[in-house]
Amino acid sequence: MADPAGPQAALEPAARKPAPAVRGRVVGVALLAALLVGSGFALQRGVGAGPAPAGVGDDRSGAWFCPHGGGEGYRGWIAVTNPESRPVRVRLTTLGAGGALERPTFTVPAGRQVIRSVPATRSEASTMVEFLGGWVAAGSILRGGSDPAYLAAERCAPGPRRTWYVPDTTTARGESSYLVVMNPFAQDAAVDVVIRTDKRGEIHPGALAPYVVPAGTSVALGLNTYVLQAPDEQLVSGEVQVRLGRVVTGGLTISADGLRAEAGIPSPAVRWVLPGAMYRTPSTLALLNPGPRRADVEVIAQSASSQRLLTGLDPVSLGPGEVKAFGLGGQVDAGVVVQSSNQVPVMAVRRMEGESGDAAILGGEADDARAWVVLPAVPPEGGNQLLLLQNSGRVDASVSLTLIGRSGPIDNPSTDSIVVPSGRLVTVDLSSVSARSPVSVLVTASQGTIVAGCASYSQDGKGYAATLGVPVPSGLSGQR
Amino acid sequence: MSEASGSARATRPPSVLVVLVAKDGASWLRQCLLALSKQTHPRLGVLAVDTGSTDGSLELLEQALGADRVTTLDRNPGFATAVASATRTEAAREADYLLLLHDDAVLAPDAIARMVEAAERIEGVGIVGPKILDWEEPRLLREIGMSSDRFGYPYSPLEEGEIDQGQYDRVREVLFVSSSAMLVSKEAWGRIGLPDERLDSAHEDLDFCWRARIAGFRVLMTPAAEARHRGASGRGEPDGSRQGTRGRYERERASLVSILKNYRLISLLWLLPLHAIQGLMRLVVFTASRRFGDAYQLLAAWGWNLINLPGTLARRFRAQRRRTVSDREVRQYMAPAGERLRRWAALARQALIPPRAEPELGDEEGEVTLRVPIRVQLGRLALAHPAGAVWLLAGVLAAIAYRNLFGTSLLEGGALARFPAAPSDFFREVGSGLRHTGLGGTQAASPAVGILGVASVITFGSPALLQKLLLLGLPAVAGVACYRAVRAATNGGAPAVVAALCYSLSAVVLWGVSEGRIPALVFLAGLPWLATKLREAFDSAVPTRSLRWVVGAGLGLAVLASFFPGALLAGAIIAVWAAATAPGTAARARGLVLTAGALATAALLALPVTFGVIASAGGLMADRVGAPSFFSLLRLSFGHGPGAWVVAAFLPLGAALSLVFVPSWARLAGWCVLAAVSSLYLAWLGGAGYLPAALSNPIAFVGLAAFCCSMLVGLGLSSLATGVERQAFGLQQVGGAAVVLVLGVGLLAQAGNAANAGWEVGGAERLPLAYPLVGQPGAAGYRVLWLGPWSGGDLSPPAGTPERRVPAGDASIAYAVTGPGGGEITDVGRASAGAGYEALDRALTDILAGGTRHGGALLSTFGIRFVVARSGSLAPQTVRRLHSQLDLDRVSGGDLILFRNPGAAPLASIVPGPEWRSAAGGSEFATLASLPPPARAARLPFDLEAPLRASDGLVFLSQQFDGRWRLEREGRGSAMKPSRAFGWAVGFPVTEADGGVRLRFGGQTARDVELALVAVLWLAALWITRRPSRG
Repeated sequence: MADPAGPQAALEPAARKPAPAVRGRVVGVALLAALLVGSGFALQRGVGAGPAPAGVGDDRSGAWFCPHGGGEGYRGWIAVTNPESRPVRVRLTTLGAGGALERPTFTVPAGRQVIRSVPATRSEASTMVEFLGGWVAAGSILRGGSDPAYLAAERCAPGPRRTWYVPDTTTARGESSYLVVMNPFAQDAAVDVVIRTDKRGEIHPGALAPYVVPAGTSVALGLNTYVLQAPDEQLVSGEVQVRLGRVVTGGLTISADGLRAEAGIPSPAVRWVLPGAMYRTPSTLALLNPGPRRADVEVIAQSASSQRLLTGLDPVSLGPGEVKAFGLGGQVDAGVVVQSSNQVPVMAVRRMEGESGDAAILGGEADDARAWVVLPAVPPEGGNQLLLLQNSGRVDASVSLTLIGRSGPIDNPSTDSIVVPSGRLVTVDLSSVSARSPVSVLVTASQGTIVAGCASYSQDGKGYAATLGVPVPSGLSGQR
Repeated sequence: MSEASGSARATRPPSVLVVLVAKDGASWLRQCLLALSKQTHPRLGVLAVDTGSTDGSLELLEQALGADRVTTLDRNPGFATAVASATRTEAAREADYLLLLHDDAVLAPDAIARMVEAAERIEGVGIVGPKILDWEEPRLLREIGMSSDRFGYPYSPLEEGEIDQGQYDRVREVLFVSSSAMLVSKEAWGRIGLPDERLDSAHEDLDFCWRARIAGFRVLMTPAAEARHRGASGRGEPDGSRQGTRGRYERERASLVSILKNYRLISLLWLLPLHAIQGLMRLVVFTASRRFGDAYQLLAAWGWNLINLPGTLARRFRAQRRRTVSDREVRQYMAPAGERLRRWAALARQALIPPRAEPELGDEEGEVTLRVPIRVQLGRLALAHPAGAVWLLAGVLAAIAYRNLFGTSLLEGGALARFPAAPSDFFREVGSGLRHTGLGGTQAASPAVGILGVASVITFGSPALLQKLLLLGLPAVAGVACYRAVRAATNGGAPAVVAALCYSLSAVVLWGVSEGRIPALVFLAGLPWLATKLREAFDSAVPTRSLRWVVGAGLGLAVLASFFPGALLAGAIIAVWAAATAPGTAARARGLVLTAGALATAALLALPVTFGVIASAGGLMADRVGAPSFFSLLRLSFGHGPGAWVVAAFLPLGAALSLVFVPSWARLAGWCVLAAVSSLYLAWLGGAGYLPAALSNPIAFVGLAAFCCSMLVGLGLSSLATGVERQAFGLQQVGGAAVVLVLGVGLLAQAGNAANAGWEVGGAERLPLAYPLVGQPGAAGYRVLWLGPWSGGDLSPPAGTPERRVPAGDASIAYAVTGPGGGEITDVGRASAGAGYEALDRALTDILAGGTRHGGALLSTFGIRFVVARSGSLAPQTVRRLHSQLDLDRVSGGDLILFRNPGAAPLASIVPGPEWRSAAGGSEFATLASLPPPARAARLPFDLEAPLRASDGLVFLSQQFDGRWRLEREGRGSAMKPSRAFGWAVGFPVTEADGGVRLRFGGQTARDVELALVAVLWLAALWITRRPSRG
């Protein structure tokens, strides 16, 4: 329809329309957009997304894996200590080559220690300790079947890892060494085993690459079958690489002179703390460098009164894949600190012999902690126990001890507060307090950090064992 | 024509008997009689049959013709019967031709003569009809001979309102002519008989002429003969005529009768099934579009044909006996097959696109026709039909963008939920009192599942096809819905088309396609309707019938909420801002009351969803899509997928520029701005975790923002398009150019990005390579726990979308529990809530935050055999915690983080031994964590035919507890009631003395009642909102 007023009339409204109306809208829209973008920027950068709340579940369960091994006539025990203020249900699963042998379940009352006998008559014997509804510490104790009955003890491993190292086994004449590989899981595992000696390079036995560990079983791989130690060799070390599934590995060496069980070490570290006491000098340090770079290692001895650099001015040098034995000389009742001066991680374990020649292996601890549960290293009939408290840190540590026996905490005012000076090892004789009964110790540092362990002699003084304590996880509910 | 009659013709003209059938036609009968009196044909007789007229028609006939030329029938038996009564007279027997004539037809003076002339001059003519013009407007053509399609539906080559300009002025051989004025030779009616007396007067002509055709007679329309036809029965005249309300019924039954009688058997063998299919499709369309009257008439026509089949077969026998020509020869007079498609397209256009205001007459007067280049013509065509042009372009774009999806047999990937194998699975889930997904229980399926079931029947019983159609077609539906909404607001075609394109190509819609989020796409497609509908309630200028409006809005809201409960949040925002911008207090109050009514109606119609929303404390309305950045939200995007790039900001930017030109900050524009801005803030707050779970649905908010922006674009363009050319050059023109530039570049870039086809969904290759380790769609008997990041985002395909979240600090997760086949569409609109989910939350919290290492045992009672996550999607702490579980075995899964739980319990089993039986009574952590694997458990199907022998132990159902389960025991008389196992599941402690046991669920009756109630409510709602018949 044509505009009756003509084109000029049609243009008039625009001509009369004030331009500021549109300009006003432009300004309004621009302000709105600026507000939107600005506030968005502020929200995004200033406020950000809300964090996820922490979970409120405080139920705890877990497991300890004890590839302790055994032999004909041997007896084995699992010591379980509950430092918490609530009872904890525990289920033991004992494993052999044919699968699970038994699965007893029991409750460890609050602040108690329970020692249960487990099968240990075969070299592949191992035990899984599951704890439900709380936290416990667990360790294994092994007593040989011959007379004198030698002794071995080890703290149990917290879980499976991709690689396990057992640095110090020997396969010399009269010695039999085993890698005890346990697979308590529902899935078959396949592992490769690498053997090293201090004189030869890596050995890859064809029968052990891979080796299948069926689900729910435990096997003992006799290292003597693959490597016999030459007269000039001091060390045979085993490495278990997991291809498939999950396993936990330990070492067991049996000889006419003694029995030593060795917990596997899952990964190397640049620093290790290895307390020790009541051993016959000299003791030996086994060092392994599994990495591809040369490691320069310093060894420091820390006794009750002094600390000393054993490697002198020149650190011990370990080539890639090299394993080496290092004699610790005449240091009595001294702990050792091994540290890599060039920050290349290494393995370190300490071999000590008791007065009667029974050897013990002590794996190192890479991290100091504020609280430890030190498990007994003697069988239920008892023996001499010496608590080892090594402070490798730079500040003095003030610790209190709670002795936990079969019936609960044992009162002992003298252990209420102990100061462990920096760079020193302090020992506490537990035998007088516990009447030579096996006793666990909850070590709590109110200041500083320490590494705690235990050295023990059997009742007859022939068997010697040493073990490290178990760090208590932080935030443990109702910790005593 | 015979030789005898040929010789007779030489001496004198043939005689014609006009059979005038009258019924209450006094108003127009006089003109009819007057026209007859003026006929120039020399040998003409008239015989009138009055079929029970009460308006004086009889008297008029007797007065005009004499009583002896009027036959009276007491009642109206129909046109054919009336003709039959006339043909029994002596005059009929002596006539060479019969002219069947309706009382509302007026013949031109020479019409009969011309028709006879045509019949006599052309050999083999049996029937002749005139050119029929409009009664009131003789310039308009009404009929020039008719055709039909293959299924017997009449077809006229005339366009609506076509003016007679002589374009059809030639003798045409046609399939049939109208019986309103039909000249029939004596030979023809002698051989083929009379019209089928069972058919209505407006529909017997096709069958009659068709019979003449197959008997070898020609049917002609001669334009030399003209008649005007009132079509009184079609107009519902005279009063009381049934034609006006039963048109579809008459047409349908006549078409079916015609094809049954006149096709050869061999033709019927392929035509009848096709006829049935298209009939069923129309039935579905009628039902779906709430045209129940049409559906009823269609069914009634089929029923009539079924009942009258014997009579039809007898008539068929007679007709086929006289056949002299093949179907192929007859078919050349039928309309081409594509004609029906064209008609359907026209109908669809009418339904989808609201009619435009007619341009004022005279606009194009005086226009000089010039020869213009083809590209200019195409351009003009596109401008004149923007919707059609965009449909064409959209089709091309879709063909390119979906090229990888068309050929895929089964869509996978993204967050796509699996569709069942058969439609019956939908109906089984809807009808069942048990939930077969997630952790089970008794929560009823959403009505959406029933809708999908019906839809999958329509898609030839193929849910996979339905899935593809929905995924690929819903963006187009969203565009159409946006077009309608904008068109209704602006009455501008082109601006509405641009707005629709903006919406369809917005980042949120493309993201929905990419991720395969069909429920979200349903929401996005329905959102423009919802917004328009709810705003309507607050607009006092829009008249609404309250009940119909309330039920209609409630019905739509129920459909959307059934698919996507977050639609309620969008609805709330729409209503809040509509109330805020309402023109007055009265309108505000009215709107709020109507909206509340609609919400209540929706709550009733979507009853299971309503229960779900309540049970989950609103959690069902939530949808976690991750923690989007505010700047990606400004692009209306969630950060991933095609069209989510920076160019996606074209829509908000274009909306802002358009806003400048919306006149006087119109109320609708104000509403759009408020809704869009508030939605963006809510989307960010919800995604960032600052809103309660019930209000956290970024999809709903961003979808609303996208629609509001599109509406603003439409409003702005509409404002720019009107009068911009009349104004002096200035800001308006510059701004308009800027808007066009932004939108043009944005739309092109978005289309290009979509055409790149980088969708997350695709074929089987979209599933993780390791998925076969977890399960297959057919696998059953265990569950899969899918984990994803806490902040949301998709789980690994085919898990679907996250259902719940577990806070555990750095190890927090979102998760979903499904069967081995992944997320299922039958779970749409159903809350993952209940004691089972709460127990699972606790178990996962213990695993991820509490330090337990017996996760497998904790998950065992849930039947969870696999824990799965997409590689790299979980926080490192989460993976560490999972790794540390003693009884979860890590399986090497390539692109998946995959753990197997070897101790998972079967979903229904008899677990022997005392451990499970005693543990089932409690839910303490230590008890659960120490549960031994149910190694010797005997599986126990729900639908057990023969009882399973019980041993001492626990009959355990890994289903959320419901007290209506029963265990029937052979050894005991009474059925055992269940106990709550592990705090959430169903358990029956049994002993060997119980003998054989069988499970039975006693809640099915309640579900049947609930289903019946919901069905009645839906039927009532559909009936209230039904649309008028177009028959």
